[in-house]
Amino acid sequence: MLKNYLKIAWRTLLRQRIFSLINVLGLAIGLACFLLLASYVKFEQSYDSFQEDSDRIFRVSQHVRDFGNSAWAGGAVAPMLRKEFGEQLEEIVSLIQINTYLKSVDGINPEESFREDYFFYAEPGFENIAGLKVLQGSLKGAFDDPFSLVLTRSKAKHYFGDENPVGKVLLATGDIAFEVKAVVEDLPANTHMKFDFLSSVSTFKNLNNFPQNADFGSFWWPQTFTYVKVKEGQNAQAISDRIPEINGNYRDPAETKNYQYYLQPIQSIHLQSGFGGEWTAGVDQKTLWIFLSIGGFVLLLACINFINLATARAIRRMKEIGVRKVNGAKRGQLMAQFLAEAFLTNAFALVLGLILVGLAQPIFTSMLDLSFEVPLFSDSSLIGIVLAVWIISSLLAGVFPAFYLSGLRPDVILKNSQISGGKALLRKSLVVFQFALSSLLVFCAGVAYMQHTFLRTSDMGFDHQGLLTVKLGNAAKAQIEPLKSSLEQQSGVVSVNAISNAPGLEGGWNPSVAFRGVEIEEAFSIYVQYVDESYFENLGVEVIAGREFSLDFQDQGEVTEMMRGQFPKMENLGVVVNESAAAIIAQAGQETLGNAVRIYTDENGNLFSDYNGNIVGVVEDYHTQDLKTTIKPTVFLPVKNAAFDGSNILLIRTGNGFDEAQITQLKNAWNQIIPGIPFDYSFLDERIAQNYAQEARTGNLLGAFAILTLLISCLGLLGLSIFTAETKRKEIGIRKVLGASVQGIISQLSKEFIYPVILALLIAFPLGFYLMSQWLEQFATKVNISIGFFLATGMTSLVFAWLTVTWQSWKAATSNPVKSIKSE
Amino acid sequence: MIQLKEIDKYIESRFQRIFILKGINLTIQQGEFLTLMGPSGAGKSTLLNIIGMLDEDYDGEYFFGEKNIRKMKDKERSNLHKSEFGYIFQAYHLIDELTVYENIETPLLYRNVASSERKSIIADLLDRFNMVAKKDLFPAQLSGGQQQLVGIARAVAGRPSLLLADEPTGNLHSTQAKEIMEVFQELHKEGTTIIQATHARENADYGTRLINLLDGKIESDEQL
Repeated sequence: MLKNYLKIAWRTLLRQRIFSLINVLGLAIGLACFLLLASYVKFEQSYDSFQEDSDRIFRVSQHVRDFGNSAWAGGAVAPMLRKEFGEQLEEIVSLIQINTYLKSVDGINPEESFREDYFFYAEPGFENIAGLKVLQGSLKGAFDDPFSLVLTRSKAKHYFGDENPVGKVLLATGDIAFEVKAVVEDLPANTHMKFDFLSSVSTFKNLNNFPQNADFGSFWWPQTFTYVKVKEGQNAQAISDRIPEINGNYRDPAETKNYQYYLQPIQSIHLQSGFGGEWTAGVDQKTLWIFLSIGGFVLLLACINFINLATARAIRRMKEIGVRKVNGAKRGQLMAQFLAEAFLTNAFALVLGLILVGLAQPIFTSMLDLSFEVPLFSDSSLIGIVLAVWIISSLLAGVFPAFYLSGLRPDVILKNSQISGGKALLRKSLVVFQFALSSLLVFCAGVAYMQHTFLRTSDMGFDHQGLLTVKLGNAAKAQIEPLKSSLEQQSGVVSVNAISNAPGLEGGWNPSVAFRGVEIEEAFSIYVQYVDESYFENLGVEVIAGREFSLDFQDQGEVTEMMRGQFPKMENLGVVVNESAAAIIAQAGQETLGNAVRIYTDENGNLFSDYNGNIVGVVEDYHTQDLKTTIKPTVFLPVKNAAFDGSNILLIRTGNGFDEAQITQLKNAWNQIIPGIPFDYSFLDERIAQNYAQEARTGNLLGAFAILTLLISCLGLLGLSIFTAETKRKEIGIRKVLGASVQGIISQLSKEFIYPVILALLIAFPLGFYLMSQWLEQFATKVNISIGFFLATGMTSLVFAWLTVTWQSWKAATSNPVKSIKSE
Repeated sequence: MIQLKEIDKYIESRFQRIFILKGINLTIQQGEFLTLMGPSGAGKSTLLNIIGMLDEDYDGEYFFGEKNIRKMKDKERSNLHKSEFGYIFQAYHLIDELTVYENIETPLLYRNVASSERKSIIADLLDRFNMVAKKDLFPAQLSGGQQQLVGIARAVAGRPSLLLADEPTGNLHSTQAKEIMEVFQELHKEGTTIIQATHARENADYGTRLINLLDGKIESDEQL
């Protein structure tokens, strides 16, 4: 019997090819979308769960008043925890990140230096936190002895090829030799702890002339990532809650209130964005929810289509049902037949869907700029979902024919070979639902896309095109003047500035800033940067009062005192402020130009820096950070002042037609002055665009899925219009015989589906407007949701729907009426 | 074999009952070949459906043998339906997705006939109706007359005691119609009770009894 069911199911599939294709393809696409998105979300949520006992591992993060969360802790935190919670904590490990250039003297590229950003000084115990797997050598002493080095397998390959690197040496910037102690397996992609090299904290102490056996005493320096592993049976939350109180015994009470340390579960790190100084960029939980719900909705749409079409098609088979009943079929047997058919059709969709997942996966992962596998056959919850989709949608698709049609009286069915549509209201509301959802997605994708374009192209307040940034190391800083003048003379170079922070990217640092006669409420809201003379002129930022730094004036101040023999105190600095900072001063009723400024950092009542000066100029506001952030009040100090050189980068403005050849020229000029030091450059506009990569990805992904949803909705509409055209074949035939025109029939048939689509738009628009207004809240600079978005979305949905429906209506309207009437 | 007592069938409209059948009393003996005639709307098909238990929405009593159909349990009725009745339609009503062979097999499947027995029954039928060569064709590939032969083969496959045919030749031209009626005659000779509804007087000549219906009532009832 089952064989018979399957046979007829197969023949029905073949007989109604287009219908079946629409049906199967729609569900397959929906399923593939869902599986891709769900496995992406699962991947993001799987971060840092591979370490042993990862639920007992926490990072010490801090909440900073008025500023939010920070991923780093000060060097004094780990010793404090060791002393206070030694009994409850199994491991307490700090890491210090640096970037450096490495060269393998006895490796495969002995001449070349490579920039390494993921170089850490780690304390012993890190192997237990990160779950390191040693491939070669041994970790014994690797985190205790100075100048030892552990590197990952991929870096070992890069520097030493297939040779065993253990015992070999890597030279870091400043000819510091590190001896390789061990090679460890690369951590999987789903960890926030991305590292390439690990050395010991004792190396850091050695290089910084810090006593080997002393603990770090500052909550500011060095900045560390600190991890703890809580002993089994201990309550992490209780420990976390006690830290601020205990911190008060080690630190000025006022500071303790502003900087609250707490334990953050490592599994949550990747899913909480917006942490200052984060190790690797996380992802917003909200974004994941959006993706997951898009996946869910696409699948839902596809299922609705499947059910809708299967139901519509079943009506065409009423005759068969009647015949079978007359021939002795029991209701149960008919139900079994229809359910078997639904399960079979659905199985095709599943298989096709899985094939689609395989095909689309590379595109999908490259869109996300990630590499992960869709764990189709290994993940039990995904398998569960696939099976659930199969069973539920099959049941729903089979239920209507199985329960409704099988119960009809055969003489009635057999008499009415022309079936009225039936349940039109339900089917139309499903069309409304589908188009509302797909229009909503199209709308959101449109806004996200425009917002991204807007961010990329809008004015940052300075001319950010044609700028090159070059990293400055100690060697380059020692030769900064000859470097600048040599580079300035190269063809294609307009100007060169030595500065601390790349404009449009980095806000600067946040010490305490005081203006004379001004009370500042928010402690950390004023940024400080170091710039050199003519910087604003070269940047294209206007000086609106006073002047900018100039060699004609003595802006560099003088050192009046070395505090505790170590930290300089400066007086008489020239200071430039931006408009926002000037506004704070003006608000307090003080004169801006000439006002005294004090910039200082202190810890437990000890001053670590104390710079005093007077405002010599005000520049107009420009975006020192990306456009997502509002312009912050900023104070600019001379880069080369009486105490130090604050420069980190060279900013080179290039003229028109700058090309690769000129970069080579710059490189040569650079290496003539400081041979062997890499010319580490990047284009500023590209780096700025990088900032919006997340928005670009979200936009692209939304766009792709919006198109797919629209496609699925259209497939559904196509199926329904085929169905309507068929059930109305006789009516159309009669109308034509009576003289109806083709256009008349097309418009009559099309109207039936266009009205629901218009209704869907009316639902989608306010919802989309609300959602996207919320989304845009996070940006300081945002695009206006104008009438154009509504028009474009509306047109897209309507045109797609209209084409779909008209195609079928046209076919129905132009067919020969004689054939359609004479069906009996 | 069949006894109908005071069968009424009507449609409730807003102001009145419209009777399709009114006060039908009819006894049919085993082995009869009965023809129902009458103009369109006289109630031929309705009566046939009631006799065939396809329509259970009527007033009156219906005895099949000794049993009152209306007092039977669903299951009993369904079994009776399966074992005793065969149906033939004007529009053939073959299942388009099934081959000739499979169409004939359908009722046997629903009767849970064993596979080997099915094969021999179908082989006999195909042979008898000269359709062996066409057993793997689909209905759309057959002429109307051939389709109706398949319809008949299917109807008799389950060895029913009663064959119901509603305008069996309505869609056929006269040569084909003649052929079908000859098949009926043969089945009748073998002992099958047949009730047919038709417009064509010449078809009645194959039967043994002719009932004329008019406006839902029996107008005349004659033995031929």
